[in-house]
Amino acid sequence: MSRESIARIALLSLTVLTTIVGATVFGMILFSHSISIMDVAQLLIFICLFALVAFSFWSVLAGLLLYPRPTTPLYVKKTQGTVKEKDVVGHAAPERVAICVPIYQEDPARVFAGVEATIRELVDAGINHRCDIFVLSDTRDTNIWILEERCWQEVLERNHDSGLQVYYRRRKFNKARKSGNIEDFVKRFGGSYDVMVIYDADSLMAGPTLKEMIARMDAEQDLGILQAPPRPVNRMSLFARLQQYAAAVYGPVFANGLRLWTENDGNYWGHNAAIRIKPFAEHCGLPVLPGTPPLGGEILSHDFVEAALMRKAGYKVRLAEDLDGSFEECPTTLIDFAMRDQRWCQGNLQHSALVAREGLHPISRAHMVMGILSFVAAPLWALFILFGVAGVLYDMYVIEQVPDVYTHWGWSAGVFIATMLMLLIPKLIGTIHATGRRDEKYNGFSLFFSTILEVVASVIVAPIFMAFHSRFVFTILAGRSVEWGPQQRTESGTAFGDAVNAHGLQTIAGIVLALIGFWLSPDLFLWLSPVYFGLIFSIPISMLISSQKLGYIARRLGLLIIPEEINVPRVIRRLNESEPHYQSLVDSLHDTDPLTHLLNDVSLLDLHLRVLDANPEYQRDDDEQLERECGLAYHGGSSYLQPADREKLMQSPASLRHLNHKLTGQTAAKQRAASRA
Amino acid sequence: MTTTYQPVEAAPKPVEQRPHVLPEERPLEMPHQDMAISPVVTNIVQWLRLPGDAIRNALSFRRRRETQETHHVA
Repeated sequence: MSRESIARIALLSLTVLTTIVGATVFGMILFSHSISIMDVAQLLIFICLFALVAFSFWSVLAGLLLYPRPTTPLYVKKTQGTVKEKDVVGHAAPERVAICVPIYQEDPARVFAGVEATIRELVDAGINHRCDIFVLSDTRDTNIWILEERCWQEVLERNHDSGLQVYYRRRKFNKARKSGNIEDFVKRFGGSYDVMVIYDADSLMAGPTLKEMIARMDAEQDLGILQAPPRPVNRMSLFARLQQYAAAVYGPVFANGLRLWTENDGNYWGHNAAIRIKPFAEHCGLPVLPGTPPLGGEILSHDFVEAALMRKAGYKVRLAEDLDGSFEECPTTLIDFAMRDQRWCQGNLQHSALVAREGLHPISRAHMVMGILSFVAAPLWALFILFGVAGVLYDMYVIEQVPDVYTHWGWSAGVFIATMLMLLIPKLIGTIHATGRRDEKYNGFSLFFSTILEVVASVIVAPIFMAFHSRFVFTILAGRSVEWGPQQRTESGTAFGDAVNAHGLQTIAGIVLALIGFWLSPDLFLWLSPVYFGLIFSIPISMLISSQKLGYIARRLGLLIIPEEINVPRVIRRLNESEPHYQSLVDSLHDTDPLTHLLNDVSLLDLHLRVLDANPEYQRDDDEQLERECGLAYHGGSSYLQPADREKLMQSPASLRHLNHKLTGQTAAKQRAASRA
Repeated sequence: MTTTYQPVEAAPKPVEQRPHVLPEERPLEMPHQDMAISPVVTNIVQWLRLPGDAIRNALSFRRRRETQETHHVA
């Protein structure tokens, strides 16, 4: 029996055993005097939630047993360079690699500064001759589109001697969102490459990490997807710093546990992963789900499904938990984080239609189920609380006796403490491992207080996320779809009005819950306090935790510091050095109308026309409407056009050339008239 | 101030070789996968539906009978 099979059986047995013990004790408390429908419902929900917590706990502990020295970047040098030359022998030609950066209305300065950092990393790693970079734009905003083209031109000029090609492609129609964007790349250019490394707009990967990933793909031809765990970095708000700290300190411990039971049946998280293109094209074309959105239609969270299809086709999908040098940037405010969760929630709930599909590996099904449960857990928790309160009401006013929870106070506290321990021990383990690294700024004292701060913050925001996730699940089940908006990645903080909009109902719900608890009994009021406290103060909590200033204060106090802030990796340094240059370029163009800018700057127009000419999507005949729009733009300027018409005009090479010739002719006529005068 | 427009053909050429916008296309087929529901699950769902269908049938039978009786009385 393989190691992962033993691990899976052990993990499942321990989870079931722990859940049985927990459920038995909780059942004894609930059913000690009477059995009501609320008690039964509460017990069923308890079993689901307790099993999830137990599984996560045992997976971390088992991960520690089999990987006794987790490769935490805080104290152990990473095992990079594990693939030896001999492993790669047998492949006549090294893999051709495309690094794909799909973007949608992102900040062009950040995107292209990241591209520049990547180019320099690839050059330093000596793999530039094997790689091409594709910036795959789905941007709709014409202003951002032009800025992207300008920044792309700048990248080319500043890195002309890099020895690798940087291509830019904007889709005319962004069918199927990000997965459609990648699919379009594979269908058109996939034949030229063996492996693609998928980035997100905020992804960043170190050269040695990329080199190692490509070497591993070279060495194992049946490795379909290799996922490098991305670590959030480079953000300053308190909320972002809490996420960064959790990922840096607890992340490796959880990743070890995950690797233990997934092994070659791992998952794909949508970015910072290497994918073998040919099997991806053959086996990972996404189906369109029957029915209409939100649960039907195009698959939103494509990554889990692509991983499941790759595994179904017999290729390995693996987590490279031992690699560092893989980064991303996280949302900086609690509201932005929740908005991202809303998209993920819809995507994960869609997987409910796929879990039972034929031929999927059981572990692929498990990934989908766990994804669904990660969101469904919130309404389950809310229902658990509601059933608990209803149970107390029933005991007090219907059968007129002391509620079960109070008569067995000791047992109730025991279940609560056991649950808390299962949640906290993995974090404690992560912290203890991290103290292995002795650093002037990063010592055990700072780690200890940072973990306390992170745990306290997690407890405070947990009911807020419970409320958000519950709302998302219910609205999606009620048939309301999620808009596909770009992710907010700036350090903007949260304004009072936005906080009231997002958390107003949560505040009211918290006050109502506290009043009910107070009215029923002081004990219940105390039990419910962790829930209603977070809800009542959700508005100030959201504003404070999203504040950049508090993040700076924490940093100055030596709290929530991540290793990447002590020894800044070269790739992050490069990004931070390049970003101001691209930002100033973007700022200099930002206020100009994009069409006017195109027509005024002939070199940009030339570049834009080449972008259009290279893309067959844009080669269509101009109709009368475009002629009319040309006329409007010619006589009245770009402001005479509606944004949609302006976009059409900017997508038409023939119209732009026509307009350029008319305007050039006008200039020439004026010059002739001036010389005559 | 009047803008002076230039013909696009007069755009200054970069010192370096003009960058390729996109490489030559080398297409790959990417068929959409047909993800049929597992027959095991279909069977389970059918078994689960049995009691519900039985209740629904019984109710509709009762309703039909009541309607017929009402018509009969009328």
